[in-house]
Amino acid sequence: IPLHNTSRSQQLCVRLEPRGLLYVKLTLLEQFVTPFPRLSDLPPPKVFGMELRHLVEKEASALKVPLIIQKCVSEIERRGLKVVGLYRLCGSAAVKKELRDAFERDSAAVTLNDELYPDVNVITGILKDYLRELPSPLITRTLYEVVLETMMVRPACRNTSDAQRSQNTVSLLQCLPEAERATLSFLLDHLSLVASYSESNRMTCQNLAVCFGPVLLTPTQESFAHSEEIASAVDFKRHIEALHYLLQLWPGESVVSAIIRSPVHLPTKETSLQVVVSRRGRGRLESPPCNRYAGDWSVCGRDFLSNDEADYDEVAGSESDDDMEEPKKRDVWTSPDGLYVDEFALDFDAPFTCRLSLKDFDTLISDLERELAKQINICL
Amino acid sequence: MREYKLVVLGSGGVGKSALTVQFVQGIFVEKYDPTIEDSYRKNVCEFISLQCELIRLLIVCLQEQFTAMRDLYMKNGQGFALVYSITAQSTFNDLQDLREQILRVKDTEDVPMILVGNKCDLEDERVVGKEQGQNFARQWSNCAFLESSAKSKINVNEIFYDLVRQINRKTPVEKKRAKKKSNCILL
Repeated sequence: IPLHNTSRSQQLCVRLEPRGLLYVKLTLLEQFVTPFPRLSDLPPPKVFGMELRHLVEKEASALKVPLIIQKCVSEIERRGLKVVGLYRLCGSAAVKKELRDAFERDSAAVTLNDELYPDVNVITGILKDYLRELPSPLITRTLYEVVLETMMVRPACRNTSDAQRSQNTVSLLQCLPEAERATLSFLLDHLSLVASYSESNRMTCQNLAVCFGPVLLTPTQESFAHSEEIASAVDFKRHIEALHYLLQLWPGESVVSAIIRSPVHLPTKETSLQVVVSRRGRGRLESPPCNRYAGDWSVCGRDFLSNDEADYDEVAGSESDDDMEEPKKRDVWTSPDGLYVDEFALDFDAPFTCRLSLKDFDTLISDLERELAKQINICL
Repeated sequence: MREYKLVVLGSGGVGKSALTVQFVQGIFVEKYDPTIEDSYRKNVCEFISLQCELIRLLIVCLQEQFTAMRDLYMKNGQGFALVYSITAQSTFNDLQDLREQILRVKDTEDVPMILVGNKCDLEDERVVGKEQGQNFARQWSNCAFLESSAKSKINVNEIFYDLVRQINRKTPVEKKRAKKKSNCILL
């Protein structure tokens, strides 16, 4: 399989025998020497800048969400939901610094109340700062790509409040590690609550996405340190679109998010839980959703492209259709470039292709068999 | 045509976009829309050199969260409007950091800059006094200072023209020579 040596990212598609396709994407990442002080020279981060997983482990809270987020969110929900420009406006940098130090000293001891921090924008600001400074963004590259794929397949439309779609959206988060998943669901619950007050606070899903996109999907400093910075700038708009999509379809404080948060402790929600389980139990979708999205593999050649969901079925299912595909695909693989597109890929319904006549033949045989079986029944 | 890259900076919701849209399109935006990153272009006549010469202003509005992009615009911008809202003390206090950051990125004290106290139509809600702004500007090696209102069209054009003049003073136009570029950036 030829590799394109000039591009930074290579995609391969390997056909497995007897069946299956293995998609491989290799990306070349350059290490840049940063002008910032070396990590080892700085005091180890205690809250800000600490790996989410480690912080959650250290704090051992039931929710698996960092205390700083829990505290900020509950205080904001207590008194900030109707504040105009919530999450858009920023509080005083000096007060934020003070609050930040308090969280660094001992998150469990921090009290957020009106007397100590009268300006709720300080609290929203500190929450955004914390998220922005996470060593890896809360919306991981994988989730981001999954969301982008989903957006293309199923664009959000404003008037659907369809529970199934919400649930699908929630299930996108399954590609996240546990701590990230718990934290992001917690946050999305909160943000949809904020958006539900948009008549008062004027922060619609779109506005919140603008304020949180750059926070939840921060590019690394390194990617800004070189010539790709402009390309990354364009990425920001997509980040915001992706977050907007998630927020639009996020179910809010509902059954579905409850499942993600703590499936075990909610016996009353069991019916919904079973829905999720049984859907996954059907055998098709055993891998996490992120693995099911193949992305854009057009560089591997037209023959590996398939319609969005069809390829999962082909891989996971065991229908005889799959076998019928084999000879066709192999023909294509060995045929000279450029020809196969017209001759095969667009021509499924043409009467004279090899594949169709084989299939017809197959159908004919099975029809005959059925007829024969009937005959036997009748005779008996 | 010469281009000027101007950057407008300041906390969220102080009216950076409102000022820019008022300047570029002559309308006051009522919509509550935080800016991601918007750039505007406007061709204007430059009155500085007696005869009217057409110049182009590139103005970029950036939202405050955009820390990484902010450095990029600081590096490329030629003139900076630092905007606060006279109705919010914190938006004023935070500008000191912003200025220092610009000077650091530019690696010079001499950067075309103007301090802008926006929303001066909201006199009833004022918390940052005009003298406070003037004092601040004086500390910033006599930086220009204006109070403005995008809503009431007060001092809007003046902000941008002042920056253009500062840029011209710093890098005099080479007459009838190769075109020079400038930008206006809003953050």
